[in-house]
Amino acid sequence: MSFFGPLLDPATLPDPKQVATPLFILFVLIELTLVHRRRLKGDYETRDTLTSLIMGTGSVLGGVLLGGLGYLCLLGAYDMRLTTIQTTPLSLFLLFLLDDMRFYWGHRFSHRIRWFWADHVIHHSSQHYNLSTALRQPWLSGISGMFLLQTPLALIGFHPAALVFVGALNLVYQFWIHTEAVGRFPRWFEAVFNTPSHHRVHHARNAKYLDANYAGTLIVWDRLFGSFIPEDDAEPAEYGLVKNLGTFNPLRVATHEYVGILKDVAQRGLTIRQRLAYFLAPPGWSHDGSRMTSDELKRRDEERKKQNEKTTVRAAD
Amino acid sequence: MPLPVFIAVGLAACAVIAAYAHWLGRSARQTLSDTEDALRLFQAACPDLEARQARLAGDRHAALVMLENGDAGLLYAMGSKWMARDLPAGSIKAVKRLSANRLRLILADYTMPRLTIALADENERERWIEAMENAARPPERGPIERKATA
Repeated sequence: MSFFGPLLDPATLPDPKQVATPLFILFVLIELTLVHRRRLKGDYETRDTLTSLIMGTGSVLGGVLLGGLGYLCLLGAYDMRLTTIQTTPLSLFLLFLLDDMRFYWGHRFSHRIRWFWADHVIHHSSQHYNLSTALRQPWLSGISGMFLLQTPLALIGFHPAALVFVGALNLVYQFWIHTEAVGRFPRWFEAVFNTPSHHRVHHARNAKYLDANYAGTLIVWDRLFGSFIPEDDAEPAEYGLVKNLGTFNPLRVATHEYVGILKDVAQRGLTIRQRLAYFLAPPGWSHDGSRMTSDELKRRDEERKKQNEKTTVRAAD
Repeated sequence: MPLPVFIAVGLAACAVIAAYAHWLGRSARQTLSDTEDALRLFQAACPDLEARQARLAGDRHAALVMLENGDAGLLYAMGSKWMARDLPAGSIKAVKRLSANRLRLILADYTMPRLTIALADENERERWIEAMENAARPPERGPIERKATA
């Protein structure tokens, strides 16, 4: 027993994802059935769903095969810790909050830095938005280096197994928000927690909604760091990528952005700075300005809307 | 649960859910009602390109769109959703005749490697090939490769 409650052995913490997997499958089947019977809003398509589920299964395998490097890094950081924070229910709760902010920034980097986007884009590659989309996860996260964002928490003194535990809990929370079946919750809940409404915005390809609502569990991080956009009933979300995929092949889905980066970097006549920018600049950046980043897409969308408003006013006059 | 068992159970679950979705009829592909529909959908997906004219595939699951800039564009049913692309010079690697009424496009695009277009009418097939040749052939490469399937 410690000041923070009963001591827990971090090595014996369960894997929340493994525990929740049978429920994920069950809820996908229930949502699919109810959507089909038109009892719930939503849309399912066989090949899209199959691709999402294969991506989810592959991500578990990828996590085991490639996740070791990240865990070793966390153990190394933990060996150099400033203090030791005992694993107790209260310290796990505190860690969950800190890790949720870590998730927010990691997620934000995943949308703003192309190298990380190459991993995360897989999760956004479906044109559908349902519970199976939640399971569409990348296979190569272990090589992205995103685990480096967890090292400060290990350096402070949280055990790496506890870090993995709360990270997985966060992902389990996010499963249920991938649905069109739920409208909005009471205002207090929408103000604090990430909800289906907030996350629909995050998955939308409409220019207005790009790069918003990065939260894992608590939407307060988006409100705090200026990336919150509420769902606008006048502009329903269209899901997927700015340039949608023309394949359901899981291997291509898993690797397409890495291939895109390699093709871009291998172009002739680029400077080292330009080659680096193809890794580190926001997705959509190009050395010759032939493509558009999300900021440019948003700007153009706003200009278009203003232009349309002017035209409408003139027509009314 | 040991990893091999987890993967096996996961793959079995994938198969069961996909079979169930198919059984419910969720595998049907989108269909275009007319050329106006094709132009509208293409324009919505590619607002920077000006679509001028569209030709529907025989099964209405795809449309060839002629653009203001002289290129061709393609609208293609990805299950119940649509995918649109412009086809600038060099974007088509080959056009294969799969059978009397189907064309296969081999594209230089990792995210859309090949597409099958149903075109029963011989004249229509020739028009598609011509439009794609004119719009997609890189001048330095010579004529587009046409392959007959054995």
